[in-house]
Amino acid sequence: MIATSSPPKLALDSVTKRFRDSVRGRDTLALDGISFTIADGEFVCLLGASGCGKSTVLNLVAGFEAPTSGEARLDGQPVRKPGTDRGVVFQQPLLFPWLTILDNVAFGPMMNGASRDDARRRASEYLAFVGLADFAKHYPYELSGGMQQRVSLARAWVSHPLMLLMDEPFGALDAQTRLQMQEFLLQIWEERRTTVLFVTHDIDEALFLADRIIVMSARPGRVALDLPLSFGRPRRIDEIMSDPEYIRMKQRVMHAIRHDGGGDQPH
Amino acid sequence: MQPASRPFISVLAVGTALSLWWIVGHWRLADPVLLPGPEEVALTGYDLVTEGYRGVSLFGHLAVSVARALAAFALAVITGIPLGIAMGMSPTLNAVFDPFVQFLRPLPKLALIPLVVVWFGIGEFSKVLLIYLATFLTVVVAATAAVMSVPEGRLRAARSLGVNQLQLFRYVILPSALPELFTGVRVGIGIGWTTLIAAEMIASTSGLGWMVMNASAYLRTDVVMLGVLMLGVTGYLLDFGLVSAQRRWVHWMGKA
Repeated sequence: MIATSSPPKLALDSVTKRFRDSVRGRDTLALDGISFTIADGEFVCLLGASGCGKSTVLNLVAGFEAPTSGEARLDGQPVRKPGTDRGVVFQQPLLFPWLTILDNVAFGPMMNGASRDDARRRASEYLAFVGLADFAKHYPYELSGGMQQRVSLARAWVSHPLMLLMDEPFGALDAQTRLQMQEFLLQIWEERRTTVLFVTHDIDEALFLADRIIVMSARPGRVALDLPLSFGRPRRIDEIMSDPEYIRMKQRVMHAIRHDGGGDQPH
Repeated sequence: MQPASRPFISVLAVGTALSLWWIVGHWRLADPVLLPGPEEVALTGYDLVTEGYRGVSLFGHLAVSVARALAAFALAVITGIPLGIAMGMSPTLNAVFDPFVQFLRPLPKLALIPLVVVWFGIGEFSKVLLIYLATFLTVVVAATAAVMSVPEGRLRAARSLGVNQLQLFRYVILPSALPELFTGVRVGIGIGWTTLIAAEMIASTSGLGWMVMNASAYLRTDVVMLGVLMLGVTGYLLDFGLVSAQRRWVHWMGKA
């Protein structure tokens, strides 16, 4: 289902990451030879139990950390440091509390040379896009957690990144808000089709959002299962949850998580 | 407790304390030399405003002390915040300066008076220096901590938005540190103000701190109490001014 002719947007090539364990005084292997590619416009969920290194993968792609060996390539260029070509949405909104909502979104363009007026005009556009035009002059602490996360999404998106990196962005929200945010994200993603790498430990979230799920095993982190999903778009949560295929996919994913890479082996 | 009832309770508590003081003074329940009543202190205050104390009017003493303190505070903030920020940003600078800061900070500044006098004489410079040292050391420590406590996640968010190192410092680290910087300056100025008496023990002829010390030698308890009240009220007003500025400029403090 991925066109083999077009080059991938993102490629991870045998990425290994060791952390120095200062307590035990020896190295911990966090990621062991991770390789996968993401096609242009693809929505991929990276799924795994906590501690499996899925956030480390995202941090490497974002350029916050460097791999011990191997490399991540965005449009063929090795990732060396953070940049506006990758928009990052974190688990916490991490907005700047001293700036208004509008100026939070305008921050990126302004730091990259846009005039204040131009940056604010673009920010307004994206605030309207995430449905928060009326809150432009508010401060982050005046907004709910879900609304702040929508601002964070606008802030990541306003610089026209080549891809969006999302690190459990809805993990801190209550179940009701989380579902709303998932539906909201799909709705706006279907308009833009930006390439997305979305890290989560929530199987239902991954099944609802993704074109493809990559399951990671824990300690050391390896790719345990690479599973394309066939649900059509636009998706409705009630429709796909009653699809028999949904149950089968969920079972395969759960199996892969429990048996650390056993998804492709007979039992 | 209703939020609105807080100031009311405070006013009531202060009013009660003043009334007790007035009762003790008015009915001569204590020796007036030991505890002069509010009426006597007020009369003394009127005397000192019109006649002055040892040749300087009461407001003259106040002005001298406030001028010394403000000069010291201004210098402490101008020098302490940049040094503290530099120490917070650079582990090397931190390693160089931290031992000195940590050695000097807990030291009672009274102990430094003989050295300061020997090195810098008995002029205004030595007095301002003592207040400055007390304030400066507190501000440095607070500014270092403020910079080091900027959340890593916020720095990452900024980097992913494409800021360079200079922009990161100017537009993210500085505003992030601002609430704690303000608190550090408030604490530093509070400590600096308490050093005033020590500073004015150095061969002075004016100032609230000097007035209190001088009056105590002559058992002028009324002047001592007046001086103590004015020291306290001035310190309170200084802090009140800073809290107001903090509310205005760091409106997000405690909310995010």
